[in-house]
Amino acid sequence: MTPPPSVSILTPAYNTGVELARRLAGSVLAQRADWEWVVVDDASSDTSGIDEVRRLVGDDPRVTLIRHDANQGIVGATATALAVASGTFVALLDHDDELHPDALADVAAAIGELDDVDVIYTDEDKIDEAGRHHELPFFKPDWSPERLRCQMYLGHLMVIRRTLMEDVGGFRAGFDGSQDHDLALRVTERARRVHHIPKVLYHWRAVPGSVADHIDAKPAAHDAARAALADHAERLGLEADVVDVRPGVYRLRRHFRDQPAPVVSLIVPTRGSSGVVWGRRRCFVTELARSLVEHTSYPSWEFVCVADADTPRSVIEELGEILGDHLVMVPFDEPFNFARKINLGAANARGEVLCPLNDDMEVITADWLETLVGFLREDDVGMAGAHLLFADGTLQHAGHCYFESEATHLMLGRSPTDEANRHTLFCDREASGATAACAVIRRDVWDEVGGMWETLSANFNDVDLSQKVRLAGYRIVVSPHARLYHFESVSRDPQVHAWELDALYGRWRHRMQVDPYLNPNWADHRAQLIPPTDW
Amino acid sequence: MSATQNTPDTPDAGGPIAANDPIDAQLEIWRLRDAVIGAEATAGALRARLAEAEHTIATLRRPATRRSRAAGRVVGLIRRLPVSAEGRTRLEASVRSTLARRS
Repeated sequence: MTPPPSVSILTPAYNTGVELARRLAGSVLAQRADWEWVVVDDASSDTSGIDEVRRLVGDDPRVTLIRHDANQGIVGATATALAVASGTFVALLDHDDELHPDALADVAAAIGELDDVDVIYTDEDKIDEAGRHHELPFFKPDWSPERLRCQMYLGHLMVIRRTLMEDVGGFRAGFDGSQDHDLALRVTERARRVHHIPKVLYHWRAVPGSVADHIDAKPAAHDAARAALADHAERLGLEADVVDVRPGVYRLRRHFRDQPAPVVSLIVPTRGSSGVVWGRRRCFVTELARSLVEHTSYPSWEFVCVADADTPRSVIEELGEILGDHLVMVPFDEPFNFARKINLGAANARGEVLCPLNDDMEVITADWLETLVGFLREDDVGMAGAHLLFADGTLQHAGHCYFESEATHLMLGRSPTDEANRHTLFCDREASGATAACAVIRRDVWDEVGGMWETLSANFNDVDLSQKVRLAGYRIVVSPHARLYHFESVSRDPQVHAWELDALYGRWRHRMQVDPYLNPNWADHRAQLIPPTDW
Repeated sequence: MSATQNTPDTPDAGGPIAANDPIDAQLEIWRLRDAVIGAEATAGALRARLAEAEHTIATLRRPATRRSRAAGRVVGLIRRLPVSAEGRTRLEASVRSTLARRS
């Protein structure tokens, strides 16, 4: 008996143009892996394209052509293809797109290496009608479930274990235009492993009127995406509202309507220092306190102020006046050690959630704490971080990333509304770490990892904390919807000592060589437009 | 960046620290948990370095073949060609990938 092919390619087709059909078929026939191809002509009125496919494939036994007598749409046509597919995995290929010649060979290699893989996706780019690549590719992160709740970032090429695809029932009717997003949410909820191949192996055709060309081309798709996300939240028991962010970008905003918000202990180390911001001198910690009282909507928080012995008495008195019952004073009479101060504050805190918070901050989004604490209600999220802006409005922090084994901040100094790499900065997303200048962490996770490493008294203690949290199996999420100013350049001496790097690398060098959430091809700016393939 | 300095003395390097009150006791527990995770992480880093070193020595000990010697001679010739650095790199890569495919 002949073993099934590794991959069945499923292509619903309707009125496909002859030239596009020729390129489509050429890209499939060029594949060097073990495959079959099921094409379903969904009752085309113009069959010239499908006739061209038939001519090109000849009597190739790997190809099955099926014709619907009546149009059933992409959902029905894909269901027909799935019903006859015999591959261990199915790959979704639209009728006007193209595969890279290595696509299925690389997918087959991943299948061979990873026994438990259920979903595989690759990077992609967009091509015009002539096959010219006219936009930088989409360099995706490795599996990032929070980002999938914001946009259909898995996109193309998406390959799914056939039995899983059958178990979830394939595409669902009623989600036209976002049926792939809905499917991605449902299969990844059940997948044992989701694997990313960081290579551009799929070329998505952007023709006038297509979603690839303009995200608003099919307005009903937005309603379908919102419905898919609402269903996903309900299946997972996430208490959240679906909110529009940008066309094609959404947000699952967690709410606390059905259960009380946990007490958050903001742990603020300070010595009561001052600096000039926006032309005016300010005492950082008292302005932070004022900003919290005036602009934070979260109902239940305390301000654990870990104050150096030389903090001016007038500052402490003013904090008492501003914060009232929110204030918990913790005196600190030792040489400077940020990590130790945070640990001491945490030991004196009563909150179920801890939030290390620098004193040189100012709140921008009133619901920043609801946003961050909301993520922690999923058991596998250990820590959540905000987007922090310098005084000039540019990005100071949007999550840690590791580039060539060095820890840095993603898109440091860029505009917070930079749309690079398909709106990365507009999405809630997993990151390798979050700065301790502002991050929430569940107390049970803090206990489990032993708080902050006091050896790293000034630098990298947050990189170490993030690594410990991830080593313990938790996700770290950063959100653009929790935003604060961080006047770091004004208040901090950025000197880094060699022993600090030695200490950090002694623990984590092997885990800093590759950042799962920073695509290597995007990070080093080697991104190049690729010449069209001549099939 | 400054020259390497000794790491400051750390509590996790010494013996148990007497805890006189609940706060000190809590801090001591966290220090110990951090030290345990840190030791596991350091072991992971050392294992990765060991694997890297073993791979390096295995590569160095691989016996030269007639093919690899011939490839070395071809690369030597390429380096003498009057072509751009970019062209030379491309030619060398081509020779190496051909060798890799056939070995």
